[in-house]
Amino acid sequence: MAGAGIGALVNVALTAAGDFLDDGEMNMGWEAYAGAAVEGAVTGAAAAATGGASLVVTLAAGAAASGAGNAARQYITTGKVDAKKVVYAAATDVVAGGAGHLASVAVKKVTNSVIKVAASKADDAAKSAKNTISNGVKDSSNKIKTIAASSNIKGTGETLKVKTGPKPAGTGPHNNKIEEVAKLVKDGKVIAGGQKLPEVSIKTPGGVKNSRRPDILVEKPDGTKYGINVGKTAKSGAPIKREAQAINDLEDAGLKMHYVPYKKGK
Amino acid sequence: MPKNNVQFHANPTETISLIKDFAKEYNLHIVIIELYPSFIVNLLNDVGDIENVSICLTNRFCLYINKPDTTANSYLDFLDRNPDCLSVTVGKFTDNQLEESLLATQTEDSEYLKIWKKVLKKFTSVTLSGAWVVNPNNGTKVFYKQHRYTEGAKKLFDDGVKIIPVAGWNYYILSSGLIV
Repeated sequence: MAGAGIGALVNVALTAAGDFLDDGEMNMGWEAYAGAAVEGAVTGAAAAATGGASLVVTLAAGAAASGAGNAARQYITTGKVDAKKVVYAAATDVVAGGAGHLASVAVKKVTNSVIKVAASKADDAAKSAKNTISNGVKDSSNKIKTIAASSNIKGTGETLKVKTGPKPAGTGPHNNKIEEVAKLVKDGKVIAGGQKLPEVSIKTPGGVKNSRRPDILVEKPDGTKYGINVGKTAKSGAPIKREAQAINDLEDAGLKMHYVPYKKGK
Repeated sequence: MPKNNVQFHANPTETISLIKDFAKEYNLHIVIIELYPSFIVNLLNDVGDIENVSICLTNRFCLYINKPDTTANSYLDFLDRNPDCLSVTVGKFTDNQLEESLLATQTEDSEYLKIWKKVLKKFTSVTLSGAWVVNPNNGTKVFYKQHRYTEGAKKLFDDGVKIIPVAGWNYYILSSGLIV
């Protein structure tokens, strides 16, 4: 029923479009529209009924529907049926249906062929990339194992993890140097940092950063305080940029700073 | 190594009272540290004795769960021997200026860490937060929402006491509101 309804609507719409386009006016009689509706209904019903059937069955049903629809239309609009026109309509439907089927099959075959070739190429490329990555990982892993073994690092191989960022207290050359410097302070007492106590935060409004933590904070007998930062130096011997900025921020906040280099930067 | 550091402003009597309360609640030992004129370590027999301590002479305390070794001859040596303390530096209130105080811990001992976290949590629950810091040299002001202070410190600030940091020449405005 749905197929018949849709077919009727579509054929009436097409007839109306043709009616308007031939002379710019809608001047066909009601009989023409009624005939179009019946023809569309018969053709639509046949198309819906043959969904999924073989090509021969589909073409035969289509031809019969077209012929019947055409005959009905002729009868409604003219009161008589011309057999030649009925046969012509049925034959046209067979030819159009067959051609459509052949075209569809051809398109499917070409598409499948293209997809198969593309899939094959993509598979080859993926296998090649996988091999390259796998070889690279194996190579890197071997290199890491070699370096770790030569440096006597524990947890070599798959469990080796490289941790970035600040080192825990008591580990790493920077922290060791801070502890060493803290022990060398003679003109006052270390009251924060120095690896024995947490560093204090000095608020530095207007600085590159809004607060800074000197590596060591020292209090002198008169109650005055100063800070010590330990850091890398450039080739020139001056503190590297981030260390210089930290010192500037702290001095701009009124804390006298000292700098102890521990390692030359690049 | 986990580190915790809370910087705050409080009337010294408030901080002393808080230390005493924490020590009583968690059965802690209190050690008084004097840095000048010479290094002295004094383990209190009774936590209540802390109220008799003169902040003018010393303002440093270390709290421990276990009885600490007090035979060290320098502050760094003492911290080497007894590394897991809750260190309290009471900011001095002199010359109409209130100095910043510190609560700091640095320990890997899970038993200590658990207690210190509770203490710090309790401390933050009884303090206010959010203050402006002004650099008097260039007039720059920045709001620090995590800076903490007690009601007593706020009252001192409202009464005209200058609120100063642990080091440097900046000063604090103990208010979370907008300032001009």
